[in-house]
Order: sequence, then C-alpha cells, then structure tokens
Amino acid sequence: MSAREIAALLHLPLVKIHRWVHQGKIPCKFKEDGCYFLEEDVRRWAEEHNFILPEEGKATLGPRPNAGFLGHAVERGGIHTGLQGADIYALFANAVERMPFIGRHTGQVLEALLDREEIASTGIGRGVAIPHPRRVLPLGLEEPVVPVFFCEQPVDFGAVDGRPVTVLFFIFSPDIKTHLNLLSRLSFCLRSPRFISVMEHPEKDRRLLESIYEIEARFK
Amino acid sequence: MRKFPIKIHALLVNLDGRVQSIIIAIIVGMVSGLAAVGLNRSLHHLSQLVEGTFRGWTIVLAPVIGIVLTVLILKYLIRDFGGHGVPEVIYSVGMKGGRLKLRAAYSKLLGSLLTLAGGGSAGPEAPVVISGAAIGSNIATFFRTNERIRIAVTGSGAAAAIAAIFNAPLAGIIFTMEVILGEWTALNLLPVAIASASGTILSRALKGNQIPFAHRPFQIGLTDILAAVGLAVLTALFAVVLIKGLRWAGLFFRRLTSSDLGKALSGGLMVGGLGYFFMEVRGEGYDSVRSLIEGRFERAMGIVFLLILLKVAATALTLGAGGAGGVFAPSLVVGSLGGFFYYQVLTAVFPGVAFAGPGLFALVGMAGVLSGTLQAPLTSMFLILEITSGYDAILPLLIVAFLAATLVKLSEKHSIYFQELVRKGLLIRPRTDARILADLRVDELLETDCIRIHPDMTLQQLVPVIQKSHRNYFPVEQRESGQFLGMVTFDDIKPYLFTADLLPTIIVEEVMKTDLLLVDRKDSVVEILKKFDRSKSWSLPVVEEGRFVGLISKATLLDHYRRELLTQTEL
Repeated sequence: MSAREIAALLHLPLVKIHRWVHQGKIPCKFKEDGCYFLEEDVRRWAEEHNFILPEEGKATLGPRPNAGFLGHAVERGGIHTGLQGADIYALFANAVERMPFIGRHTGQVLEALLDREEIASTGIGRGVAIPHPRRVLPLGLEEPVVPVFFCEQPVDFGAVDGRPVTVLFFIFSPDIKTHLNLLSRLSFCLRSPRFISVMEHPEKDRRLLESIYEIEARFK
Repeated sequence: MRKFPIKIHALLVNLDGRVQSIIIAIIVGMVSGLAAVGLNRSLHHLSQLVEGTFRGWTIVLAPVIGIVLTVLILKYLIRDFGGHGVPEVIYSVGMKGGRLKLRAAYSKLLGSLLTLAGGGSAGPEAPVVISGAAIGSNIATFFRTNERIRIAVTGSGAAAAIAAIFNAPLAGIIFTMEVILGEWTALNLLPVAIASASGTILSRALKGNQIPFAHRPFQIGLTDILAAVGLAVLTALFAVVLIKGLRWAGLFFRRLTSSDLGKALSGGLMVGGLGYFFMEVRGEGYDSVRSLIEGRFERAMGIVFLLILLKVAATALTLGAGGAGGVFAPSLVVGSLGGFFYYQVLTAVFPGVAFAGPGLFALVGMAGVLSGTLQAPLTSMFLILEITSGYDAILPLLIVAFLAATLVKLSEKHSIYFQELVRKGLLIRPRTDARILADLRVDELLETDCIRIHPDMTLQQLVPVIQKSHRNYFPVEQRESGQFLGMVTFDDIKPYLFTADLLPTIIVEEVMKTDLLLVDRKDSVVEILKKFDRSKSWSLPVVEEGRFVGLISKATLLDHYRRELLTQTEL
C-alpha cells in the first residue's frame, strides 16, 4: 500500500503519515522510489497502539435528497381543493378523511396533528400552515407524503403573521431527517413570490406542482 | 512515653519529599533486607530438617506436603494465593499508587518457605520481592507519603530484597527500575538506591560479605566472545520453553481438576517423583549452580539436556499446582545447565579449540535465560557480575543478555511477569497514553454549564438561549420529570435558523438527536474515547439514572490530557 492509501485507511493527513515514517513510528518498507506499507503490518500496528480504524463504507451523513424530493411527496399526497371546516378541528377531521394512505389510523393521526398544534401553531404565515405530528407515526411509510389542501374559507390558525390560513401542507415523514429536509424545501418555496401567486389559484393544481419542481431545482 | 514517637511521626509526615523518602528508604531497606535474610536462613534450616526426616523413597512425599500446606495456609488462613507475586507488585505501582496489603509482606514468604523446603522447584526471590514491596508500601502509608513517593518506596522494598538476598545492591536497583517501576527518574532512583544499600548492609551484617558464587578468574578470548552468540540463541530457546512450560502447566492443571487441593496433591506427587530420580531439580537449586560454576559438575551431555527439560517441568508443575515461589532461581538453574550443555557441545564439535571453561558458560547462560524470561537484560547482566564478583566476563554477558532478550521477544511479546497482566488488561506502564488516561476521571472532564431545554420549545424560543450560551450543544429534558430525552446541536438546526418564518413552527422535539451514545459517570476515559471514535461526535452527554449531568467534549479532554502530561513530566 502507498502512503496515500494508508492515510486514507487511518483517516489521517498524508503529511502526518510521512512524518511518522521519518520518525520511525509506523512500520514501513523501502524501495528505490519511496516507502510502501504492508496492510497486515499497519493493521496490527494500529491495533497494538489502540487505533480504531474507521469502518469502511459507512458514511455519517445521509445522501442529499434529490431535486424532486418535495414535488414527489406532494404528488403522492395529492392536491385537494374545497376543504370544508370553520375551525382547525373540522378542517383536520375532513382532511384526514381524504388521505387514503393513513388507512385505519385516522383517529390516531387526527389526535397527533391537534396535539402538535396545541404546542405551537404550524401556521407559517402568508396563509399557509404545515400541520404534522410531533413524532413519526407508525403509518408504515417508506417515503414522505405531503397532501396539499385548499380551504373553502380562510380559517384562523393563530399563525405567525396573524393572517388566516387558506392552504394546508400536511407533512408525514418516515423519519425525522426527511421531515426536516421537507421543511427546509417548503420554506424555500414559500419565499418565492411566484409560488405564492400560484397558490392563489387552486383550480390549476398542475401549475402548483410544476412550480414546486421548478423552484426546488434551484434549491442549494 | 507515647508522646515522643508521635512527635517524630508528625515531623516525618511533613518533611520535604526527598528527605522523607531517604529516611523511609533506610527503614524499608533494613526491614525488607531482614525479611530476605530471614527467608534465606529459615529455608536453609527447614530444608536440612526435611532432608533429615524424609529418607529414601519418602522424599517423594515432601513436595506433596510442602505444596499442600502452602495451598491450605495461603487459601484458608491468609486468604491469598500462590504464584510469584511480582505481577501484583507491578500492578500495584502501575494502577494502585503502590498500595499493597500488609499480608502480602508475609504470605508469599511463608508459602515459598513451605514449597521450597519440601523440594518444590521454584525461587525464593519473587516472594522476597513482593514482601519487600509490601513492607515498603505499608511503611510509606504509615508516613502518609504521596503516591509518587509511595510508588518509589514500594519499589525500594523490592530493590532491598533482591540486594539483600544476592548481596548485590546494583542488581537490586536495576531490577526495580527495569522490571518493577519502568521509569528511570531521579525521584525513583534516590530511595531505591538507598534502600538497596541499606538492605545490603543488613544482609552483610547478618550473613557476612560473602560472594554467592565464587570462581577463579576466567581467561576470555575472542573464541569465547564469538561462542556467546550461539549461547544467546540457545538460552533464548530455553527461556521460551520455560515461559511456555509455565503456561502449559497452568492449563494442564485447570483441565485436570478444579479442586485446589487436587492440583496440589497431583502436582506435588509429580514434582516429588522427578526430584527422587534427579536431585538437581529439587528446591531453588543453587547447589547445582554452585558446582556448575566452580566446574565440579559432572554429568554426561544427554543427562544435562534432560535435566534442563526436567527442571522446567518441575518448576512449571510446582507453580501450576499452587506452590509459592518465583522463576528467578529456576531461570538461573536452567541457564547454568544450558551454558554447561553448550560448553559440552562446543568442546565435542571443536575439540582443538581452547574455551574459557564450563564455569564461564554456565554463568553467561544464567544471564541469557534470566534476561529472556524477565525481559530484563540489564538486571541479569549486573546480577551475574555482582554475584560472581567478576568483571572479566562482561563482554560475553553483554552479548548474551541483550541478544537473548531480543530473541525471546520474537516468540513471547511480554515478559513472564507482564503476560498475565496484559491478558487481564491491567498492565499500565509509566509515561504511556494509557497511564495518563487512567488517571483522568469523568468528573474532572465534565462541563456542566450547558443550558437545558425542553422538547416543546419552538426554535424561536431557542434562539435567545443559543445567543446566551457559549456551547453548541443543548440537552433536552422532559419538563416535569427532568428525564434526559436527547440533544439539540447547533449544527443540526443551523439550516432552519436563517429561515425566520419557520422558527415558530419547529419545536425542539422535532430536531433533537435521540440516537446518541451516552457516557456513564463510571466510564473510563479509554471507553469514552472509543465512544467518540464510534460516534464521530465532538461532544457526548454524560447521563446518570436517566438524567443529564454534563457534557464531555474532545477539546476539553485534550486540554486536560495535556495538563496531566505536564504534571507527569519531571524536571
């Protein structure tokens, strides 16, 4: 193995490996054109000196979600118009009825959504709310689902900016990391004036999706 | 009447460290020297009594009685165990600040007296070393010294014991520095040298200034020095056989029976049988060493080789059966026989060449095997120089001692004393990473100035907390019960902090990490470092009974590590 490979194996900078070779701290052999290492020797040496070799192929950070991450989730959830209800409870109860992927968990999901709303409003301003449960619910989801609902009439959510809510982005994620990723995508979209203007015309649901995909593509 | 000694005690307790250690070293040297001479004398008399009592075939029974008595007395009366005890001393100075129980001062002495007088094959040196060390340790405790001085004084006791038993002050000092303490510092050397001297003075006062193995001066030529290289190889081989033999005997007895008495009975009988046919393998064996060095030993080449193997077997069986004693004397016996055997082979192969004589080879062989088993070339070299009172053999001694130690290392990575400590993970030598880590405690590293947050807080509420805090880690606790739920790290929430509209809608529970590696208050720093390596995290929470107590961060750990290193550096 070369010094470069050893540096990679031990997760150490190459210059440190070179210094160790000069100081005789690491076992190596010499050829005319430099030093080389026997993997077996280095592994034994590392073990003797209580080095923990980083496990291979185990990345700490998950892969970055791909570009159409939020768009696909919205597509899976569907865009629904004409949601009836005068208060949060009625809105949620009616919306949950229209989410087939929840299955028999309707009661549990409704409770979880209301519970979360009690801690802090999910109304993030500009007439948008993002209701979601506090914890990951056992819905057996493999991918996130974001059903979008347009309300028949604006409802007071106690939102940040005090404006009543007209659009609901429900968020159901298989894990917390996905949830946070969806959140940042969504907030990125909400900062786009085009997105806001599209949302004002609920009948053209195809355009909403298109604009999500479009804006998401610009997300860095 | 009682007032006077108490005043002296109070005075000594508050003395300057060096003066204190000198005074203590003189006392320790005398007492452990006395113990060494005492064992030597009683062994001499008791052995004669045994030989007078057991005549003919009944001599087979003597080791049985010796070892069985050793096991019974040690196990039931003193509640200690057999073996040689040097690892206990090394463990004590390495990890327990030189603390040793008082009973260690006499238990192994008594045990080895019974084992050896009965004819069990082992050495009295290791028992003398542990009792000397225990005497030193307890005297140091009596004078309430700090740990650094107690460690040095514990070593001094061991040095005085070796010095007194061999009438060899230098060997005592070097044995302690090389094998027991492993750290050549002025603070260590001072009491060790003084105790060694006072132990030797006492021994000379009681026994007279006698050289244990007198010999005529050797005429050493180049051929002898060249031949030493071959002897180094051979003695290294015998040392490996001895080390392996001891390990095998331990396994053999463990498989044979689980009863300590059964081991003692069967082992004693085997040793007795060997001793009945070959007197040379009995006891400490210094009589044969003496006759070998003086050139009086007459046995055929084949018998000498057989004797070497039998001596190894007898020693392994004696110690494996639970007898008390060390491998110092057996190493010397095997070494002298090995040297003699090598000389016989040399003269047979090169009949025309004049060698310095069997005595020289026996001497140098002793140094080789001892150096190999103990991994202590300096000790063995100086011991042989001193106990033969001859500087003339220095060159072959040097070659054999250092070569043999190196060669043995190819097969056995650790000396006979270190092996069992390494196996149990108890070997910590001074000035190593492990030494420093072992000293640090979780409580010293704990950072408690973390601001605790609750799962139902929104990020908006968290922002002022983050502004106030100078840490990037926030432990999350259940509001009512105070139970630890997870951690929020600044890195995790950074992406959301700059999106003002999201802040009030995200709660802590949604962003906290729950799959954390937790540190226990009782964890050693070595374990904590492993957790750092595994989690690749910079900080880990310390949790006790479900509650957060503080953080441990890598940066602080390095800071403390460095300070610890600074205090351990002696100017």
